[in-house]
Amino acid sequence: MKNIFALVDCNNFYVSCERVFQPHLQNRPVVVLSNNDGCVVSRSDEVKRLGIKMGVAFFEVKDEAEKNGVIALSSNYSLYADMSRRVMETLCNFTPEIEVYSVDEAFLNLAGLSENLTDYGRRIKETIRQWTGMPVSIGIGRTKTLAKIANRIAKRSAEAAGVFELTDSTIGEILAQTGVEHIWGVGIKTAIKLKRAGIETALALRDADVEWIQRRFGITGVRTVYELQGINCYELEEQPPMKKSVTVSRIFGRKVETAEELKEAIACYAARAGEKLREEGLAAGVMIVFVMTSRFVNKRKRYFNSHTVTFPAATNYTPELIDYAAKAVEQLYRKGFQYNKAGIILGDLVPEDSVQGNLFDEVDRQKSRRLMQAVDAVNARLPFTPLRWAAEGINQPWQAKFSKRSRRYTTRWDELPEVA
Amino acid sequence: MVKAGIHDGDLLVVDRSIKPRDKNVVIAAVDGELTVKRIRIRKNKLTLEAENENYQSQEINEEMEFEVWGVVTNVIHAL
Repeated sequence: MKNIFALVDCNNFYVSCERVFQPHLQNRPVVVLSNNDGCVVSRSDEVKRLGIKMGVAFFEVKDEAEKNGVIALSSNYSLYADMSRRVMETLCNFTPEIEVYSVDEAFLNLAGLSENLTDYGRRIKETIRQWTGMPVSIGIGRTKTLAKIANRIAKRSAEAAGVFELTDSTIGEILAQTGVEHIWGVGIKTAIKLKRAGIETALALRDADVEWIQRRFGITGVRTVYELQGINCYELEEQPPMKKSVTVSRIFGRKVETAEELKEAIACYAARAGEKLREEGLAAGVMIVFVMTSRFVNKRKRYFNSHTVTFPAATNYTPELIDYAAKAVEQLYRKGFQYNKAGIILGDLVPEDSVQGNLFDEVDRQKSRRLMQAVDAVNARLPFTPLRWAAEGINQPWQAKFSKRSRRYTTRWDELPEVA
Repeated sequence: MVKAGIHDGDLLVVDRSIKPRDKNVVIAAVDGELTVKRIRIRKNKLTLEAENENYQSQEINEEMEFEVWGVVTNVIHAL
């Protein structure tokens, strides 16, 4: 049976999440800013029309934004993660074959459907809108690459109104309108090379000489050509590949100068990293701890260093992670620097059930696993994090600032939306 | 919404997947603000009733931004 892929993509995802619970933000220019209110990470259509670019530092466009009444919000990742889950769960009602591609995108396989595909797409779009409040665009095509191109049209064409299917009769015209730089998997460098060789559009790439593409761009290039021709090279990945590493790193809310505060922050990241490992049923063999100052200060005030720890046996036991992380900080800390970021990377991940024992292991693995299960169960059930390790500190003055963050409407009992 | 059994500080259970019908209690977004009201859907006429003697019913006209946000199915009232 021929595959039919649909790419469902949330429009301006973070901004749209905010608008669901704050309808007064509808039809007004809104941006969401990254950690510490640094960069623009999501823009409403109104902001895009003002020409404010994705990823710019907010202070650079602040005047422009204020002049145009742009509303700037801190990012609210609890809300976005939960809204993402709602959208993906709703999608599961439409097909069992779904690949969650990112926080705001999913591929569906709609093969074997007897209903008209565009109509089905509209039903998906309307259902997501009603059940979750999220506006989405849907592109439909015979391959993932074509579904991506269709999605771009769904977003841009007023006629498509959010749902577009690439059919045999429309495909030539659409591919001719699509620049190679807009094709899924074609990076900027490849796009420049292609254009230099006279291949400017998706249509030209589809009809390019495959052997020449193979020589110039290797197998990935060839796959893209086939995908444009409607031949499947990328299947639906329903099982996300096992994680290779877990990273927890943050920019501090203010500069950190003492070893104590740095240790607190690292302990907090270690606790979060441990939680992430256990969520996935994994244990880590190595841990990299890094600390750094801002890159933009005077060279003599700049410092970056990392320390790698190899565990005696792969672990996801938080006290052990914190213990090793604190020792690493002692190694790394140099007085007289203003640290602005630190982090932990856990690698060499293995399923926790297949951890190789170590004869000289000093930790009671059975007991520690039961303790972690208990801690995770309590923390998952309550709106704040009631059980924390003492090493994480109490006030955590180094935490990043989210000065304009909205409520965590869907995950905290004490932050539910209120109505008059 | 006292006459509908909804008091200040109550928790409402809202089902977004239900299509609103006449006389449902709904959360509505009216001109950018969320409000809880009983909706009346009649020919060419939408009205929001406050179910409270101190508040007037509000007719929805074309100049207003209006959307039904969800249908209220249950109320949890603290004793």
